[in-house]
Amino acid sequence: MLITRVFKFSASHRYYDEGWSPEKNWEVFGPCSNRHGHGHNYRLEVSIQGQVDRQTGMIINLKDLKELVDREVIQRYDHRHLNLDVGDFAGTQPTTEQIAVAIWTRLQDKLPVGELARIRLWENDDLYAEVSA
Amino acid sequence: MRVTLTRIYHFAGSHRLHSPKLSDDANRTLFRECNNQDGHGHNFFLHVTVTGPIDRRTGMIVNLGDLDPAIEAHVLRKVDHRFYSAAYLQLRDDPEHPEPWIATSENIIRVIYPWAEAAMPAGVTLVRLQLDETASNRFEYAGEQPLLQRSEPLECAP
Repeated sequence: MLITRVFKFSASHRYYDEGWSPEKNWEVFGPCSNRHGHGHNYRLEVSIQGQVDRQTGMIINLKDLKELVDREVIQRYDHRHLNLDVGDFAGTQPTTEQIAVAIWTRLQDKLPVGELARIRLWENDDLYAEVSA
Repeated sequence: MRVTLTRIYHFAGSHRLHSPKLSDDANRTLFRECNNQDGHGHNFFLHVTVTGPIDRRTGMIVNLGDLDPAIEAHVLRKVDHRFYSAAYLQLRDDPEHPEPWIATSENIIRVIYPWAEAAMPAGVTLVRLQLDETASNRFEYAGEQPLLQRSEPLECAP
């Protein structure tokens, strides 16, 4: 059985490779390469797989999951600039794919119970990245 | 760990569910309001899910600057603001045993699937399509019931 909890954070980012000229950056990244970045309201769906505990009737106590995601993700990313304020994207770009991978890596081995089955990160209502085991 | 990227596109079109093999009464019984003589339309949302290695430098499985125009050219241009019944689209399933074309979303997604596959930029693999016909009806398809013969719409045929 899967249980999914939804989280939200807002952050800014910029796609820019310092090894490329501004023209090349514009060619590859378009307006995502604008100097001061831009932002999104991200929506994060975290799905946990596990057995239902007979005593609690729960796969995982959502309070524990909320505290974990809050500590590992929300407090680090919410209202931050993902290039400048967060170290997770050095040498690459904070794309939807890479943010999803970073969140997966942060959460993967830290669940008190159950297993991380899937995360889905929405950048916008027409784009999401999904990571699964 | 498996990473996919899903992009959602919109198109609008109309259809009429009707089988020439059945009587008018049987059509009405089977397809109900979807059998309305002059058709009806929907705002369709097409979810295109892809996978592939994440390029370290761009951080991307696929650059949307490449995927968007490819899906536009290979898929959306062929289906947006069209009528999917009649002769415009056809399901070329089994030439030996042709069945009437019923423009259900199940069949539309089967026709679209190879077009979306053809739209994939180098190194990118199509994983799944999801077609939302309305907010209540959605169809997911990963190519498991392929057409035997590729279908092209009449006006866009090469």
